Amino acid sequence: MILEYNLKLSLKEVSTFAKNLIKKLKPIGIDDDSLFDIRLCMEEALINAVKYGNKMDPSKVVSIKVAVAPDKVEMEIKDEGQGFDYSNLPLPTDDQNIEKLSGRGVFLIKNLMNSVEFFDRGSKIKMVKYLSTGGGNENN
Amino acid sequence: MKITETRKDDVIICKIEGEININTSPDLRKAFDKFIGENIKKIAIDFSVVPYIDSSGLATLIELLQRLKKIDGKLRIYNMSEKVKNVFEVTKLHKLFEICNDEQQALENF
Repeated sequence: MILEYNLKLSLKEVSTFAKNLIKKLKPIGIDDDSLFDIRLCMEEALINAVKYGNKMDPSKVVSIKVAVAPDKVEMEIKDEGQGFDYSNLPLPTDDQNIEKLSGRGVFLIKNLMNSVEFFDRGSKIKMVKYLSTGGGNENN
Repeated sequence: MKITETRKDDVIICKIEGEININTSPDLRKAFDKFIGENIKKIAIDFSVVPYIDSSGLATLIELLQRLKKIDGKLRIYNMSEKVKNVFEVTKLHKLFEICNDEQQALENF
């Protein structure tokens, strides 16, 4: 199953989009733990795309592709921004950052997904969650 | 999101029912503003009906912790689901917050 969207999303709409996506994935038989991680990472990636990529510009589009296979869910999110230096992000778990109020989105994605890649200078993220029935490389 | 507060001596037990996300965090922050405004220094948060938290929810809780620390206050969180606890563990915030198993443990020597 492949789902594709091109949306002018606002921050308020991110959560509803992710919840609706989970409603589509649940009947396929994906376990609740994986659905939790998929939803959280989709929301974090969309928030970054809308807030930092498209800079809350309501005319700008977020492109989303979700490909579901028996053993994995692949998600691609692309914004219209200039990208960011994804290779040099401060670690939110470091003592000097642990009480910071931002900077956990990409870290959560890297830790809850099995594979994360950035393209187009960081304006596109591809993340993969392997499903437990597929014998993938589970992090959790 | 529904927030219910119960007072036990000098402690506010705050039961949150619902997701803590980018849309509901402002409501939670308002409730915390009220507690701080009333000079409440000890807050125990019941997470038993919190099925989901995102990074903005984590930030709202860190903000409350920082405000309580400034007035020598304390924050404890209890009854977390395994998935929500995992979000705290992945981000190492389980080391920053006092996370308790249940209400009894949360109120012990508080």
